[in-house]
Amino acid sequence: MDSELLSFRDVSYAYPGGARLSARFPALRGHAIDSVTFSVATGSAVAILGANGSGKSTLLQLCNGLLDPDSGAISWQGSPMDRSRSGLTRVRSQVGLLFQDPDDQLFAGTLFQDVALGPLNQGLSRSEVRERVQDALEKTGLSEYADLPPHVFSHGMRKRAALAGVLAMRPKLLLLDEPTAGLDPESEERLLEIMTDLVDRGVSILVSTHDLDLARMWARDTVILDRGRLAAFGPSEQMMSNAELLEATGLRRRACRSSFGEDRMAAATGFGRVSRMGKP
Amino acid sequence: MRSIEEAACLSRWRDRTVEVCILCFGLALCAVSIPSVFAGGVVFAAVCCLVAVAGVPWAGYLRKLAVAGGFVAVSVLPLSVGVVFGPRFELYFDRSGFETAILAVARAVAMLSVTLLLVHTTPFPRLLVLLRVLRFPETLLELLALVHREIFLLDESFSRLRRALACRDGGRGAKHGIHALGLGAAALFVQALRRSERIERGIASRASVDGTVRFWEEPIKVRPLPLSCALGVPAVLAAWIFRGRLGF
Ligand SMILES: Nc1ncnc2c1ncn2[C@@H]1O[C@H](COP(=O)(O)OP(=O)(O)OP(=O)(O)O)[C@@H](O)[C@H]1O
Ligand SMILES: [Mg+2]
Repeated sequence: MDSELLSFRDVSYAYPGGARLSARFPALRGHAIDSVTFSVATGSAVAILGANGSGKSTLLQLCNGLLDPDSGAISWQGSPMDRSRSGLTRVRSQVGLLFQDPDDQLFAGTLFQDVALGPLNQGLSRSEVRERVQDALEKTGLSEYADLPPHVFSHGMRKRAALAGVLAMRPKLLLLDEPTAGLDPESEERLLEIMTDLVDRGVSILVSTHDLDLARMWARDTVILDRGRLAAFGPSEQMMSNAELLEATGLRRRACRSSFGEDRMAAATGFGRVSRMGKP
Repeated sequence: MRSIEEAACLSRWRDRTVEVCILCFGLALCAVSIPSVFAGGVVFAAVCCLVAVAGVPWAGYLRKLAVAGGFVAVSVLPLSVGVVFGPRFELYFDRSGFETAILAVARAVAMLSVTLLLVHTTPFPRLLVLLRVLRFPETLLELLALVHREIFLLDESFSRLRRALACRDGGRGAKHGIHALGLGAAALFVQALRRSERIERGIASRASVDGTVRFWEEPIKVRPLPLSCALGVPAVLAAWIFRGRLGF
């Protein structure tokens, strides 16, 4: 039986000033995360789906103690998350977070230095740090760029560089915030291989994404967030076959499904029915 | 900035931090003590040879030298004009002032060429390692490393903002230029604040709760042959510059 790694019980979080904003603009809610309860077991592959602004990034930042919940409880490995300095250091060295914007986490002068940052903070020996950095760079296909500064990379390469920085920490739980956005198909495939390999080795992964295919093909379980609330949590297959749920939470287009939508799209693009292009 | 950093990362001397620093320190001493414009020319010629050996791209190097040197050269004008405030206001050409100014400019340009050689051949992170070996305060070095990265991010944000503005307003004319600059600077300020908050989270997420950042540093190696060249070149140059005073 898989043991429980991380669990959320009735967790709510509001950004400072959120209440005032939501009073004027109801669409911007006071709570970015609102009474969320779910748990992640060791070795699980979970996708977090949700429309823009539904709270995916906020949820991930709560998972490694970067944000403090306003109410509710977060447990790590069976006990309440220790928020003392040493406790947080321990949690963060076991829970790796890949940010949505790679520039938020690339701050060293060279790629090698950047990837080495986490392992150095973990207090590892130089030889071990070097070994981990080389391994992470190899996995992400960036070995030959180790001595270059991050600003010469394209967005997709920065994303892979940021991922290398997290992989080098060898976390027990990996939080990936829209890792495939902006990656080319080859890099995406490589990333999926890395993710699958890690899960096989017992690492748990939580991926926030808008990509239903990723959730369907890779994730065993799926969390669906809707305006900060947990709309559903369960096996991916079950979630993905629930068209109503996907539409209600803004994860699937309504317009394109109906023939009316197809005709409207055809009128807009002038190409005839999109799905039948080349086959009149 | 970007081109300097890129040149440094691709330079043949990128791993020779100590040797390059010694070489440039020696050349800088020669540059500030040249007795004549001709000697300045010789130092400059020597630096140009080194630029070629190090594989620094010429065009970028000379362009930066021309811009910086141009600013310095402007100072020749006020120094070579004398003013008499008598019963009659008079302007005249001051020969000694001109000669002093020309010598000062020669020294400044020689010094600039050496500084540019250093930054085009030594990546900034390597310079920081050297500063650490020289016992610069840890906090200052950490700050320098983060500021270095931030400068590039802000530069990138700023050029993106300007391009986006140019797309929408055509981007032509002085009025548009000033407008774009003002808007860009204001937006940049907000972005810088947000970014600092996000970078703080980024650092914290990698197991650094107290905010200290430990950077990986390759140990500095010094090889005998490059070291002797780094010592020899300035020594030969200095011997030639001061040959009169040294008695040969
Ligand atoms: N720094 C912040 N300050 C105030 N409010 C914020 C901040 N970051 C996010 N929010 C608000 O919190 C809510 C959830 O944001 P979050 O970034 O977690 O959404 P998301 O699901 O990751 O969206 P996306 O798909 O666009 O990345 C949004 O309503 C947003 O406006
Ligand atoms: Mg997000």
